[in-house]
Amino acid sequence: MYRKAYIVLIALLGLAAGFILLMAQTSGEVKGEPAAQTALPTAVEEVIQAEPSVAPAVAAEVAMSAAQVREVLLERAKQNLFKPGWVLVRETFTDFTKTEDYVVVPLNGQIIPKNWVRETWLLVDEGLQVKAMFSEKKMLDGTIVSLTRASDGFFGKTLNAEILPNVQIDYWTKTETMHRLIEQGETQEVVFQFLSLDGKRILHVVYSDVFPSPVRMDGLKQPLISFTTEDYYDWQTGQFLLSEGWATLTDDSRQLVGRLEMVLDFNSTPPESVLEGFSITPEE
Amino acid sequence: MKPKSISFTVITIIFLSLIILTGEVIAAGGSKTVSGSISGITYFAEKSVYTYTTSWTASVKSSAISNIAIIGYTWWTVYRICTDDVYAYYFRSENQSNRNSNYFEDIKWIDNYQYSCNPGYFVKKSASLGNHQFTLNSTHQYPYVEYVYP
Repeated sequence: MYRKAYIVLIALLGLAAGFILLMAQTSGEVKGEPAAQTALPTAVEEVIQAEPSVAPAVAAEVAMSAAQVREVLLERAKQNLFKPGWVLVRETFTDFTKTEDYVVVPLNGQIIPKNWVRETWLLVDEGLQVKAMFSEKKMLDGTIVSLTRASDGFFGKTLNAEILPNVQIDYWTKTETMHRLIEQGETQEVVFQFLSLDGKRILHVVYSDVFPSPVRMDGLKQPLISFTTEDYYDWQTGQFLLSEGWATLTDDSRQLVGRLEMVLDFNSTPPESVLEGFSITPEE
Repeated sequence: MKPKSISFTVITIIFLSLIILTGEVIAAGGSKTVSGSISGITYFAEKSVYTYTTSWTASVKSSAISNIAIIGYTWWTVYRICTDDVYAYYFRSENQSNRNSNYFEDIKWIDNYQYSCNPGYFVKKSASLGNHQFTLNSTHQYPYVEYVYP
């Protein structure tokens, strides 16, 4: 009797696994756009327009798990992302909902902008470890809204050294979401695709969240029923390039909500005001 | 294996398959509900915070078993604060309600990339809090409900 039950269970598991695989493939075909029609984000389209020699984007499915993809990105980032010396990471967030520009926290007067630029100077040693960091977040008009400074004493005074382990190369690969999903057992579907751009292989990662009920949001013409985040990485270097957030509305139309872009600069040195900041303690 | 165990396994497989296929995510977080009574009508005041893959939501919900004169909130605040005590997100709204109704709900949706912590710091907590409003026959009740995650 027990043997029979086991056979039934194994058969059911086989059927379920087959069903899941079949549906996942179908789902991928439906959700992943056809190769020729794959839309690139505006920023990439601009690159294409600026460089007419660029071949059209071609999409191809990536036959790797999230864990494998992240491992490759981290490995390549370790080889290519940082060089010894000062590295400037410039992140720009653009909000497309056209509502108010910022809110003020009444408790402490802190400004939280919808659109922002964050410039982070990282001092990297020969072992590619971040030894000092200066990060400044600004509104588009230049108003500084937050500032973070850290050093382990390698450069200037020791301050906030405890946060330096959190801003090493892993952090700047922007694979935190992927990492979290891997830790949760990869139960949520993530779509990976390769795109070709200017001879570069771009990894396109799509995360989708479907909400239990529609959510009204300022700046959207209708409530959103799901939200999709599309991240783009340079597959050769492991560098995060940009991310776009798309809302799917109740009429099934899609609306671009926000875009985060990241650029690395190895050829600049921090201004004096940044360097001087490492020689004073916050109390001074 | 007993038939009950087999049934449980099958149900679990079907449940997980449905989650994967629909793309619906089991969000982390939760809600807190307080109930009370105004002129014999039972009401419920609820706040919630749920985190999704790349975003999170906070809500306020006031409901009653039958229509009352005013149902809503007098103030509602949603915030996320980081380990450096800097607010990643803050929203406050006041005096929102429905009249002659038994339901009021508002939800905020927040993108993690747009409202992130400074480099080196992490999310400390996300919260939805404030006073609800239930009014009937010139009697007012303003229960305070707060849900903080984690």
